[in-house]
Amino acid sequence: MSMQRLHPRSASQAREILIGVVIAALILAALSATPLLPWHLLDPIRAYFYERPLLNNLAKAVLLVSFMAVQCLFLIWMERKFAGWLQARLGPMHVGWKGVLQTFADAIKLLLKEDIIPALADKPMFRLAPYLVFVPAMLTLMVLPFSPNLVGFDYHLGALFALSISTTGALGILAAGWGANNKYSVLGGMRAVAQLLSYEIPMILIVLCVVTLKNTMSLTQIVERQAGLWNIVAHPLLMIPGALIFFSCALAEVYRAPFDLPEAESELVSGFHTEYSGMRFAIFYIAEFANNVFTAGFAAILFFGGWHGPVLPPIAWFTLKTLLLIFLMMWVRWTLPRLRIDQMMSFCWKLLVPASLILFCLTALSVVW
Amino acid sequence: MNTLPVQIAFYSLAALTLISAAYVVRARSIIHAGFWLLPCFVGVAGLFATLQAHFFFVAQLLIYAGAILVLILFALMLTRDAMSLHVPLKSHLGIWAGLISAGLGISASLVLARQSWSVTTAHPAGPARQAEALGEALIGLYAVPFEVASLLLLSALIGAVVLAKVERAPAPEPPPLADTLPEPEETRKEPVGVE
Repeated sequence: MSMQRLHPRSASQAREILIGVVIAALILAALSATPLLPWHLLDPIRAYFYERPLLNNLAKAVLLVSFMAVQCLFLIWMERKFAGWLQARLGPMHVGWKGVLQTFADAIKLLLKEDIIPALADKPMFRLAPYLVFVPAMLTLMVLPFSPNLVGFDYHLGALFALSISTTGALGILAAGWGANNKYSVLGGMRAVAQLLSYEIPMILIVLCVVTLKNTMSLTQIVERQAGLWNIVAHPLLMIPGALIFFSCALAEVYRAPFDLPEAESELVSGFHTEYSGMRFAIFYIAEFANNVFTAGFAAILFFGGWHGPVLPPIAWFTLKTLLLIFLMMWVRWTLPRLRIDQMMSFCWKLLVPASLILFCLTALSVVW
Repeated sequence: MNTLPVQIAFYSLAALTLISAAYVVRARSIIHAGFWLLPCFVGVAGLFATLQAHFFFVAQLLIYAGAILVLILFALMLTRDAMSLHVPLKSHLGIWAGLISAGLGISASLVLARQSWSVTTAHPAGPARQAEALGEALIGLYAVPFEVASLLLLSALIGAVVLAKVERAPAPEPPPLADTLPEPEETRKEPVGVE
């Protein structure tokens, strides 16, 4: 077999994969070198912020929001490229190398677009809704420990706090659906909330399993107690099904296919954000990706040892695990078709809830013995 | 512990709770009234936080601001006049309601003012211990009331299902779909002369 018999397309694909691997290796090498950098030069700045708690918290908040906005730019590009790859097309190609800058162009377009509010909309609610979705999404990131030092607020009830804040995001979606005064939006909003509240129950039960095993509700402590042995390795019989249930619930919580019924394009014309345009739509989008990052990071913390890992610095491990889980979510999204609403509900109430209850009982038994 | 910031936080959260509660009553649309409950619940959660009751803070957010408010809004959205912005705010029972609320308010304030509350400077259990202590109390000392309360909730749940379940007549046979109808005569002609 000579190389000439290969289709030219596959040869170029092999080259692209090679380039990707080289770039990834370079990034990882750069990251593993970060502990050698002269960080102590920053000490005066650090001391300045540590002495002023209010300013420190403000700086943390600004960093978190801007981190999320940048991450969002990257993730959207990644998702579109990956979708293109799975569907045997190219995805964005024109702005920048392989379309890397496409999302920047889109962001500028969204900023410059006219902000349209439907004439018969419930205006205060229509205006308020994006923020009701955005603020909880950002608040959940606040308690997520990115590394031993990099955590917005090391709350001792972190796991419970994150879950409770992420539930309140449902209100924003309900407000968006109702405020737009559009039947598809209302349907989308109601579906979203019903789905969120249903899948919250098995999700909380699985988090409760981890909390029972690790005997703490602080996310930092949960990670620290997995030093050397990740949860999924330490308790495979409990945590592998647990991680699977958690992953299904996470998909439903962030409204990704096969659970994307709230924004089902073919039935509801993208559901609760049908009527939104310009920057308000972008805020919904950023919140959606922030929720993705949060659920993936949460799963990494609960099951895959958070920042623990050899050689690379903690932040690199956490980011790597989170990105891999987001990648998995995208893979599922672009592979599976959408469920019907009754299938979605019965999957949760007849399968996930009993399974997670049984799992919780087993966890309790294993802790007692 | 510096008390001034805590006091400022306490009074502003109390004001947030009360003002949004007033808006819940005064809102022209019942959906808006429902959404005004959100700052009200968040304010109450904040009050718990200023009192260092961390578990109640999170539970208030999870249960009231998260779950119960959504259920209330669902119920409101399914009511008949949910769309109208002109729900009459006057009621013929206004005087009685005012009298009863005033009586309740005055008697509660009197009780609060007369009672000699035991004031202690000792801090409550450390924040990390609180949730643990609460859990131990719920399955230890207060196990029976806790179980009775959950039994009550369970019976309410079953009662709601029984009340909502209406014995319906079986649905009528759906009309046949177009492709299951017998084909009209003229389209069923045999092709002629095709050989």
